[in-house]
Amino acid sequence: MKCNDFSNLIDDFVDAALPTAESQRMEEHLRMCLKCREELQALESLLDRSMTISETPERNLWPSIAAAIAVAGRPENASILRTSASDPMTGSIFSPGGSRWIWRLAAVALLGTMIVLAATYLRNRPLTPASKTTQGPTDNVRSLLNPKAQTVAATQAMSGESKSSQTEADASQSSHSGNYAQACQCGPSLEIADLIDKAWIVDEKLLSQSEREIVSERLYNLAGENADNFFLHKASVETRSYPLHVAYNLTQRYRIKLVQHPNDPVWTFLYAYSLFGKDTPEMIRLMQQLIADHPDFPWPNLVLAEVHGLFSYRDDDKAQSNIQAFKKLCPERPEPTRLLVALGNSDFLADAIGRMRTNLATHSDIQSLLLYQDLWYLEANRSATGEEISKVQQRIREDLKRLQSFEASRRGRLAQVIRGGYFDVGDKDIFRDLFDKDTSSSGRWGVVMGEMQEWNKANPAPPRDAPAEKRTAYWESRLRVSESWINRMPEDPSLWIIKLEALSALKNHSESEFLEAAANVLVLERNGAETPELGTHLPWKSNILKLASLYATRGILLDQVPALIRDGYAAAERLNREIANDLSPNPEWSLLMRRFSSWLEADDAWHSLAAAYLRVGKPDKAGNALDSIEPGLREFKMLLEQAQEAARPDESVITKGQRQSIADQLANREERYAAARASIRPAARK
Amino acid sequence: MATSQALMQKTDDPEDDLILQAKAGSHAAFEALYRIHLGRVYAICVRILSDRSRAEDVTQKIFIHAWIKLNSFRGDSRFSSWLYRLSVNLIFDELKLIEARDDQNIGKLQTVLFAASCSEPVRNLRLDLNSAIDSLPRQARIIFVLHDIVGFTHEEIADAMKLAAGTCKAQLSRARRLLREALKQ
Repeated sequence: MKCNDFSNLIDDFVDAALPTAESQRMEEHLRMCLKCREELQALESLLDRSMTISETPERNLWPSIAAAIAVAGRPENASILRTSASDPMTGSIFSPGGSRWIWRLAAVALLGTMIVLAATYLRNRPLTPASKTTQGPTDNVRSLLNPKAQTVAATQAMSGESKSSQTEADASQSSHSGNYAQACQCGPSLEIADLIDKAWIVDEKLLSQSEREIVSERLYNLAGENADNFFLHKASVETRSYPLHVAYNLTQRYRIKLVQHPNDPVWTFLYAYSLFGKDTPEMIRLMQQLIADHPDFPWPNLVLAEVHGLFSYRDDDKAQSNIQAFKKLCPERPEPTRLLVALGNSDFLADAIGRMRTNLATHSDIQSLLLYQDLWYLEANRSATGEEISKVQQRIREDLKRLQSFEASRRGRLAQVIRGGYFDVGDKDIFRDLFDKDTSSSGRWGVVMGEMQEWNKANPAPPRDAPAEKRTAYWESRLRVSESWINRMPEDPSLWIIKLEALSALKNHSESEFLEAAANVLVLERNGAETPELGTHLPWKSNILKLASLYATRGILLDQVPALIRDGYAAAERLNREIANDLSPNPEWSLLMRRFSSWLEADDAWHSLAAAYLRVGKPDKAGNALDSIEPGLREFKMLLEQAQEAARPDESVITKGQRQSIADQLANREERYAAARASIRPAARK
Repeated sequence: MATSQALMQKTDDPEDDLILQAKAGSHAAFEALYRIHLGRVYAICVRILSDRSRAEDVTQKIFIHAWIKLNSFRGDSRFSSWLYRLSVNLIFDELKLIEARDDQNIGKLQTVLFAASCSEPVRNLRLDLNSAIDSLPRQARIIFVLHDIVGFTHEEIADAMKLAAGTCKAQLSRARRLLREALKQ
């Protein structure tokens, strides 16, 4: 055999596809020929390496997947996304169902999170000059309204002069008997629907969570002032989750009503509804009782259908029977559309979807029109052939024309639905154009997040041991880009933190520049702007705790740092408890995880402060800073032990892993604490 | 109920446990499976699609679909083989979509892809296996990935790509030769 023959057969040889005789000839040749042995080794090494290739995506893909599988339900129930023609396991490769599958997942993505849309947007749009405003960033921040003041003003503007709480109490006395008949109606009057829609239109400069806070308070006040109106109360409870004091007040409000009117079905409903997520089993019990005692009351059915679509309380049969009961009482209402998305029974869906389209066509209030996105998703899933898909797309285009005909200033949240619709039907240019024109908080947030991802990808942070000039160039560039993001979204404190990090790493910038940016973080945080941090996947990181660390690192205003850490940690604790609910499979554990991650940030800040005091020769104060760490160390050690004792036999491997990770991190933090203590002692002796 | 049933069937392989739990509806177990297989699935997507953003989207679709179809995995093969097969089908769906759009917009996409690939900094640095695969001609690249990374047979590839099995073998041979040369440098 010649080398040339060997080369020609080498692939079949390594794939064990040669007849035995041929293989033997190859082996004989190998024994004699070094060059071919090397060639074989190179090929085998290539194949070994190919077996292990791996690569990490730039963005975190899990949040969108988690959102989509939550919508899909359990694997065996996940038929909502399953049709035989495009089944990737059974259909042939290059099956005609391909594009439909892609399209359907775009709908899943739409349901999932804004992140997906924003990321898509970011990939498709060129970087544009960020600033559209002539105001400087600081002016812009200062000109922001206080959300709380805005709430009161807006509520008063909508409903005339604010009434006293006495008036509310008076109204409640007379509201008992008339209320139930109204609550059995299938929806609010046009006037009330309009009032609810208007409550959702807020200042574009506000972050989405501040926005929700305002809407929640507005509706709470509106319901208080119109105690007779069931639908205002219902809308108020529906936005209950944030902030905590509104959620708490709601439960109190309806508990008092129940004392005044025992067994009243309306107040029982509202009280029970206010327990959603806080004491969900009790809510379910009360709603079931209401259905048994008051079969004409439609709304408990809808709430139960919603609960039974959620992961921890999932029961498709119950959800379907609740939806059917609701539809029997209120055949014209569009609300079940939203709930159908979580269900898997295709016969049930087929019947329901057609009616939903007819129903939605007769509604013109924004709350109902928002349901179009759910309808589109369901219709897309039901279409099996190319012809059906184009019909659905055509229908969506017509729906979009209708939605676009509403005045832009009235659209509120509908703007996002419209944008998503154009994305779904593949009109990417219109989608992008709408995104560019969208000056709302979520629209600008999408743009900033997009730019941030691009920038982070193109500019990896230099390692610690990189040459000084390289690190300076990186931080100068990060400073400039953070300013452009701030120009677009001055209301977001986490963008100011990015600027502060850059200023802190650079020596040639004035202290006043640093202090001005820091002041903006404080102004924004004190206005209640608790915001998800951009560019990370840790949504509840505290900007205040980060600011405290930055003060300490920079070595300024050290005396203010302890108060800042305490405030920041208290705010984080409050927020962690506010967002806690009993809808996840292991609520106590989720809360502990969130609390621990906040404590780690506080721990970092105390260490930074101690180090800063040591640098300026104040070991006593450094010791005080370390003293603040100890209670947290003890508390989390105890909580971890309790969690270990209470571990359930069926807990997931992930929970086990998370517990181990907390234990490891705690051990590290203890070591770090001991080391810091040890470093203080010699300094103190001096 | 389903969770306890799943737990009663506990096996020695931790991945089997995760699969059972995920089948019973555990998002946490599925997330663990996702973490285990993400790197390879994503790498396969990038190698075939030559577009990282698109590969990220398809990777998401793959795992969403894997969740939905999880009960069709019966343990006859390795979970990874099942997952890669599902991946390839979805990746090819995406390729089909790209081709369909290219028919209307010939050249534009290629320009974009070319620009995207040129902007990859890794290309100008050390030539690792991933970038070496990326530099292969399209057909050879896809065949190499399917055969040597995913584990398809020539017959399966030929069927999928509407090629003669001989062409497929020749392209694989070419791809392996080009890769050996590229990695020698």
